[in-house]
Amino acid sequence: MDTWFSSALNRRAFLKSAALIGAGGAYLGGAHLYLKDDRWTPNRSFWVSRGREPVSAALVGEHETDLAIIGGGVTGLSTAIHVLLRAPAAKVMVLEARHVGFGATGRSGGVLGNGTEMGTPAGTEDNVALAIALIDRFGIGCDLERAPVTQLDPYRYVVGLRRAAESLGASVHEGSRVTGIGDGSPVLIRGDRFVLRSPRLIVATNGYTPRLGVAPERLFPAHTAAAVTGPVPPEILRDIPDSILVMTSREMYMWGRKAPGHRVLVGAGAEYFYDNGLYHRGDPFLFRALHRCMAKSFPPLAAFPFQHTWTGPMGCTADQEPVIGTVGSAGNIIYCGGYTGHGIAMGTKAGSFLAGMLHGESPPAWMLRRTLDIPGEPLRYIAVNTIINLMNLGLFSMPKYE
Amino acid sequence: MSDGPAAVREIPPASSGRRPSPRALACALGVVSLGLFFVPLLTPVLQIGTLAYVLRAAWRGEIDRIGVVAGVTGAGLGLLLFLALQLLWIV
Repeated sequence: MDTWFSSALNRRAFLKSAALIGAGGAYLGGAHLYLKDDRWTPNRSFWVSRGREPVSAALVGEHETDLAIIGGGVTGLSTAIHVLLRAPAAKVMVLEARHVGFGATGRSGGVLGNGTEMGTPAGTEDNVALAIALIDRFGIGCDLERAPVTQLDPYRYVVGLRRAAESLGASVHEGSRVTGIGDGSPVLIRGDRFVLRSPRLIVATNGYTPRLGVAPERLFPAHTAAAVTGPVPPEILRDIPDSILVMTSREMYMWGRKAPGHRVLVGAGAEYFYDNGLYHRGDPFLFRALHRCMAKSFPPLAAFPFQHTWTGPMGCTADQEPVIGTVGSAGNIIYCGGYTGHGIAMGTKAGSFLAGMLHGESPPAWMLRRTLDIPGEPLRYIAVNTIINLMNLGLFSMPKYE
Repeated sequence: MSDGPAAVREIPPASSGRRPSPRALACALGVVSLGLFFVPLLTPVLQIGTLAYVLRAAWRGEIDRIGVVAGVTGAGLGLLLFLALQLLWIV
């Protein structure tokens, strides 16, 4: 029996179908042009606004090294430190596109916790102790509060890690953006003004990783927003918990803490931008909604407007747990990321895992697990944002890691 | 070559009688437009397409009131919810 689908096309129906397909293609093409944005959101976090450290010299010319690390955040610098603690003679070079702590590290809340977003899988029980051990060992000044909640200034922490890595012999090059990674042994790492050859490469760029062409099927950036109030009187601040966690749906929450200078820091939300976008174009409702949420949870704070607001991408995976993987024909390119907002302590620990891998040790099996492959655009944009929207609406929860 | 009479092949119509009625189509599009309001990129097109289809069918007198109400309500409400989700930013 003929149906609408199996019946022969006449010329008019054919032209109508072709026009429809053409319009669909034009829509998706237009969306691609409109939504794609190659800029990076500047780091305007409260932490960086308190004073930025001078940037180290950019890498220029052709070089060779024993180990190259891309990413001057907590993972990359912790890896450099742990590698050099094991092999002090190794030549380690860290490449950072902007300045250390430019990415998620320097924009986080600075609250340290053991475990990950989904639980406390093997090897993550002592993440905080490892971070504190590094702070104590290298005398890092980062406004560390050990109790009742372990928290610090994440930018000062990562700057301290840079100094520690340099003191052990690493060379950290800021303003050295990698533009291409050539597969092979050695790996060829190209930048605007440099070429670097290294037998092994660590890609520690978290949410920025897919844009380097590394593991786009496993990692994606999700932008979150954070803000800090002006100084709050002590009698009001006394009633604010040291660590804020307010569920806004079954899966999403507002997080926060007390910040230096008698302030309150809060953050929330996740947004995915087309083609692993790293630029937040701004949203007039974003910080009003965040302030409303803060005021609803802590009414006395309603009278205190935000003095600093910022956004930034954090690295995520399909199951919200960090991953380690290897790519390249020689298996000599190792990536790590996807902390889903728990990167300060977990990233520090991941550095020790990565250093161990370079010495033949295996990281915890769960970090090497298979994850659901995230499709390419435009399906990626549709799928990731659909799940985020469902989480915001409380209609979907991620299964917890056991 | 065959010497027999030339076979006459009947060309089926471009659309057969199994095509859904405008009312059923409008209702289905309205439900999908509303039910999938949280899907970016695709849903706004579906919602605007549904509104266009229903209004065109109504202008031509091809659809009854139930179909118009179901299609316009589903697509309109779905579009409002989609915009609210995008712009109001649920925290």
